[in-house]
Amino acid sequence: MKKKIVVFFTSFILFVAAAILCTVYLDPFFHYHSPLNNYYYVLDNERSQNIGIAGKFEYDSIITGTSLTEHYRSSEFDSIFGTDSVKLPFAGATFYETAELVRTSFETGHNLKIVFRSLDMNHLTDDKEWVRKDLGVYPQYLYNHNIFDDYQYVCNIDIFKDYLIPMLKKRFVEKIPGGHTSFDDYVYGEYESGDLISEREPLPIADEQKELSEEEMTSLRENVEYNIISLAKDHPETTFIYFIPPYGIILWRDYAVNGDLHKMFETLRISAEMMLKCDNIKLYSFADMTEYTTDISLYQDEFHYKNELNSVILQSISENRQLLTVDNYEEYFDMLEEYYTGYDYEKLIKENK
Amino acid sequence: MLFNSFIFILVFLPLTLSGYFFINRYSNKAAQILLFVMSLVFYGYNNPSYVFIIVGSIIANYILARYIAKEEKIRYRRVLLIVGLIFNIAIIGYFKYLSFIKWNVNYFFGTDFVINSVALPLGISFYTIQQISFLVDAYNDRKMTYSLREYALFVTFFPQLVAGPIVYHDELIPQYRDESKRKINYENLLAGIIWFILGLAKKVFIADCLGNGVSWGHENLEALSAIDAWILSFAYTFQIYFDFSGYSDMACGIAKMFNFSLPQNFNSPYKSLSIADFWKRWHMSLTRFLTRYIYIPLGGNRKGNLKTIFNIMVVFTVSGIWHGANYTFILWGILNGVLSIINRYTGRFAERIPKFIKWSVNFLTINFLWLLFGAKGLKEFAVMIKKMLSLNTHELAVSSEMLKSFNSYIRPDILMAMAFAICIFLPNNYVREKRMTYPAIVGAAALWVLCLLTLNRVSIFLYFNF
Repeated sequence: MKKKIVVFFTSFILFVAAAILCTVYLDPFFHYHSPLNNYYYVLDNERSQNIGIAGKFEYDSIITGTSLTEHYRSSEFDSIFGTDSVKLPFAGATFYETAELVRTSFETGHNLKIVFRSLDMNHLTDDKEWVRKDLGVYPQYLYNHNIFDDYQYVCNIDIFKDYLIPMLKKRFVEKIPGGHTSFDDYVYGEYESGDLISEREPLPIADEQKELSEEEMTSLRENVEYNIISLAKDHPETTFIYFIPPYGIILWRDYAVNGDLHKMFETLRISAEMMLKCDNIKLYSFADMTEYTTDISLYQDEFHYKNELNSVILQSISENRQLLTVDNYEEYFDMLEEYYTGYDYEKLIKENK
Repeated sequence: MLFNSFIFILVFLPLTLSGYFFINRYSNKAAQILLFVMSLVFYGYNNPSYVFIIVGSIIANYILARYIAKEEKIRYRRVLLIVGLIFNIAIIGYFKYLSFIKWNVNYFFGTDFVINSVALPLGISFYTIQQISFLVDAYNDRKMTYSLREYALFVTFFPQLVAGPIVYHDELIPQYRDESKRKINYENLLAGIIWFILGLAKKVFIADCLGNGVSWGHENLEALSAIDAWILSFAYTFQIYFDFSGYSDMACGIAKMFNFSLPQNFNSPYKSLSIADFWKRWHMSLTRFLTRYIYIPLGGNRKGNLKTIFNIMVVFTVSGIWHGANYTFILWGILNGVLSIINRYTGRFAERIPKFIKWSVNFLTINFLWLLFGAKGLKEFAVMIKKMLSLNTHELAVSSEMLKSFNSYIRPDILMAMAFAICIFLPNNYVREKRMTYPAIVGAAALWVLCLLTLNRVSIFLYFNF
């Protein structure tokens, strides 16, 4: 019977070792090494795979940000800017999360030409180290250098079921050549026109438009300094391109009705003031493209717009249009605030109901 | 602490086993103390405050039992027993039923008692009735030869502490004293490990996956189609069996590693042909407790038909109440009682009915009763029944979202078919011939690794704010 116990535990150890070795060898999340040439890697999990891609892939530029950067085509970006980019968005990301990606990229020896990021105004006043643990179980083991918590990666049933087995099947059964999901297709989808009106009432804008609190001000400055400015200062050879998205009229309406409109512009002003002091930060804004922003058919919801606007953004940037500078940003935001404060939102809602 | 966790499987259990057998070479008493301490660690791992409650309960019940056993006058003995019963029922009443009682008082009497939810100490329903059985036996038998150490270990023995099987003191404590059990027995160890693995596999591969679908159903009740409702009702029927019996298998397996034997809790209940048969196979340790300490003292079936019917209804109503503080449980218990009574008096007419028909009717009845048991309230139960009854052959498209919600390791339809086949065609783990051939051993090791892999998942991020 002792022999059977030995056989049992030996088998157990061997099976565990096999599981670990299999995961380490194929490494679908690129935690240990870059992709193997003979295997096809499906890219479909931002928070699990982005950090690995940032560290282990070969590229010279990064497209990152929130879901507003998911639907860019890397190929389009590369053809315009002459780069070899990876697209690493995080849906609902904080600036800390995307900054960590960029830091990892630099730390692993990448010489970046361009870092292209969305400047999401609703995340600017986040705590500088906030991570979206409210969206799911964060795979912290992929973000640290603690080898002991890697057991959550190398002994993980979903890794086997959803990644390793399909990879082996692709290689040995379907004979699919090595490679990975293109960055054009990675988390790519089409935003469609959404219903932005039926659940909104024609309400007037709030009489009192709030100011940023002291706490929000501090948080904003720390967040911008730590997750935007410091990256640029530490890497003067890299161009950091930020864009303020063409936020739709409905989003501005919601802020105005809730009394947050002025706060958002203050947030943008202060951020721009800080960012424009860096020579290698270029800040573009598309919030004044009212031919788009007031067309609600272009928006799936208050944040997300149709993919065609991404091409408009890239083309504009390549032609250096919509660029904010030290000289024009204050006037720009004043104009913008005046426009969106004076807009007839009630008429918009009534006419579209 | 959970059985299905790394800390338990790879740290706690090996440490406790090796410590227990090592110390037992020198002192059985010391080994029992170690086991008791480790049982408290197991129990209080996630909430240390629970330890104070169980330890307090143990000391109070032990002292009471000693007084009951010593007391010569039956009148005073009875008083002490009643005090003991009230003490135990009051504790469980406070933690488990107070909010429910307050709600009912507010509802029926228009009062305005504040209902604060009180966290239910783990396993309190189980160790309470275990200790009640001890007090009653002390009253009846008047034997009190156990030390506090042995009694404490009987109540807290960690494999059965949280969810049974409900053990009697005279089943477990003699085993603690058995000299032949002090030394490690490799056959028991291996058999126990394999038993534990099979229980763990039942839970993580079947019960938990079915439970995902069931949870999705609760959250999307209104969106369920008739066929979705039927599928989820069966999913719950299988979930509750594999979860509970899986836990019992793990408990029995762990106990076996220590050379101890726990009573059988499930005997393939979904093979039953009647409700009476079902209750001889489902949660058997609870059934025998209720029979021994409620049904028989009330007179059982020895005092005429009317009294028998009354006794059966009392037993099942108590069972319903014991299961939870909600009208769904109480109604579930009552319905089981009614059906048991009908079965009792019409059973002989059913003898000629083909087995398959008897089985089908019984299985569907059990399924219906579990629907009530698992509903969050009577309203939800009514909604589900209405949906199930609206089934028509033109609308048999199953919701793909529902199927996805199972998040299972194999296709959900295969999972359900497998669950069904295991319940109906295979022997259960308690009676299964425990063959320990080399292929079986290697297979068990592989299954154990697969079970451990399920403890780590890749999270799917769901976001609503951008």
